[in-house]
Amino acid sequence: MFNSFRQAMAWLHTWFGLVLGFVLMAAFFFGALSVFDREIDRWAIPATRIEAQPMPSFEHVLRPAFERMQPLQADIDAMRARVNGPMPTHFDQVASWSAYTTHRDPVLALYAGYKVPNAKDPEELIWAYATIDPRDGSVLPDDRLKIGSGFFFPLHYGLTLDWKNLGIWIVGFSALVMLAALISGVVMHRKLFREFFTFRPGKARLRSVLDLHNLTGVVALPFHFFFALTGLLIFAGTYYFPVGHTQLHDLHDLHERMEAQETGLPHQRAGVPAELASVDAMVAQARHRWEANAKAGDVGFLVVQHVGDSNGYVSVYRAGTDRIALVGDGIHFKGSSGALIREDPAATPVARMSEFLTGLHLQHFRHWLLRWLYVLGGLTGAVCIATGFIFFVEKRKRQHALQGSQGARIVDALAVTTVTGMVLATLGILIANRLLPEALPGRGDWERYAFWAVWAVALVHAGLRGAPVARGLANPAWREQAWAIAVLAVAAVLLNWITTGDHLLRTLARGYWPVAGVDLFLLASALVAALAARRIGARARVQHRKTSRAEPAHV
Amino acid sequence: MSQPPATLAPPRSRRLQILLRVLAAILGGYVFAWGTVALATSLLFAARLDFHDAEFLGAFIGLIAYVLVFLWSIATQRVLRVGLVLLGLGLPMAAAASFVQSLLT
Repeated sequence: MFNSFRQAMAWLHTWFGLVLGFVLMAAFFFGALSVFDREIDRWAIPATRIEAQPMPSFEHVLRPAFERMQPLQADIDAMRARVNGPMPTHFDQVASWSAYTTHRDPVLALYAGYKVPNAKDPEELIWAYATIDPRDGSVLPDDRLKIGSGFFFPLHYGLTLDWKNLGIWIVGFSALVMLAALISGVVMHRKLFREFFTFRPGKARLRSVLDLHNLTGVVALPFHFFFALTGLLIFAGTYYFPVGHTQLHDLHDLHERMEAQETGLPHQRAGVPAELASVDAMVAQARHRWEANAKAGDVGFLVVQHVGDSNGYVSVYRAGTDRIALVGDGIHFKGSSGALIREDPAATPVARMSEFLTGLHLQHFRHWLLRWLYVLGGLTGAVCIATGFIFFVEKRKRQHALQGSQGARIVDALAVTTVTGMVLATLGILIANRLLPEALPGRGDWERYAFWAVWAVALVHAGLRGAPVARGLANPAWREQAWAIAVLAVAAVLLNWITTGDHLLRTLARGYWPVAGVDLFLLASALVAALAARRIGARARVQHRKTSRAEPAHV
Repeated sequence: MSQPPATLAPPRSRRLQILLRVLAAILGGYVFAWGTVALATSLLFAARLDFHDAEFLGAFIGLIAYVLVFLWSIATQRVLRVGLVLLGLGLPMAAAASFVQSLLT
């Protein structure tokens, strides 16, 4: 099919890059935003604009909150079909209680799993969720959309296409192609070192676009490669290659039996009721043990298994804020006595590699500069893909104009939609979040609709305005949408001020960076968009003068 | 069977060629990768690695293998060979993984 290996690589790079680049843009852009997902959550849910809190006392705060929890009626109804006989109205047998927090969370997420009597699959649990204020245990509304961690974050790995995990598969396949595109890109150019230092903005349009594509590609090459790879690895065992749940299920079972024997952590309830000893004392002991191993730190994850049973046990995991590797260092106690059952052994070399690679992607560490470098890396990836689109269009549009083909126009419209349209959709959901009435039922759904609606409008606009591309000229939609970004980004900041009273002077004076940071980032985006729009406008006027002078020669 | 230069091939057969090749690369590559993951996982477990370590390394090896056979599928000359090689290696590897499992459990 191809005459040479390099030609094949160029074909793969161009066409797979074009088709899946749109998905990769979304993964990179929303992944970059997810680095600050907790901070975006604070901006979006003003009731939670408080300082990050450590894991609170179990006896004083967590236990009363857990005891108040029950599954939602909707979840009970959804489960009904998987149960023989009627569903109970109250679930009393608690399989597990757990609480999760990070060093950036002012609110605490609680999970409770309950045994369901007569469930067709006796292992299946029904879950209840709650969000509490860790300072006093008061329940915060759990139905508010956490735009950062509940929307941008799942969007970056699954496009929020939940049906049969379709989105996760699309993003996974795109990540695979990304790895292939990086390798093929290196094969295509070979002059890797020179490209680090090559950017000729003054040269012909095509040349400088390609320079920027190559530059952003190679500067962040390890970042791009490792993020695609670690993203795939994180989901490989669960979604992409679930050998342990399917083909090698028996091996997995064997491992679980061996592990239960080795760890002494009971897999099942004993059926004998038992009281729970002081969990706070167990947490204190766990912290003491970490400190003895030079791993001082806060609790990230606390689990009580088989609540109320003599087989119950408590697992305390560390929040790994002091290193890249995602470590648990779990310590387990017998629930009824508080006696130490087991301390997780030091990780094996493979586990250390796995912890490092997943930690590298999920960034639980406390290091703000490194966090910003992640954002920069993600945006560099987005620039690399966007310049790839522009190069594709610029290279072909004159030829397509002569042939009367619409190809370049379509790709250009899609590129506008994925570059400026995606930013507009992001601003759309933030603005909807500030404008929708507080008590609106299904408020989170409306915010999501606003996001997709704005994106759809951007697509239609880019398509309608794209006619000049088919004549070999530039699409004015680039400039118009860049202006729209500038306006909407400023509007989002103003709306935040009007609806919550948190203007920048106040948040900066208070040092409340989650909200101040989002506002500053929005203003910076507005500035960049306005500058870009002005430059595109100036270039379009030059182009216009040139073509109108050249026009008579054509006719 | 030498191929005529791509530009001279009639568009329809070239389009079919590309479709077949892309399908072979994606689906054949997936079967090959699955076989690699399953076999590597079972063998590493048999070599006394912890199951989750074996699973992780297996997935790592399988993913790298997928990327490489994907590139090879696009670059190599004959598309039929792509399909035969990927399925011909992937399926036996998966079968071997089940065999290793049956020996261990």
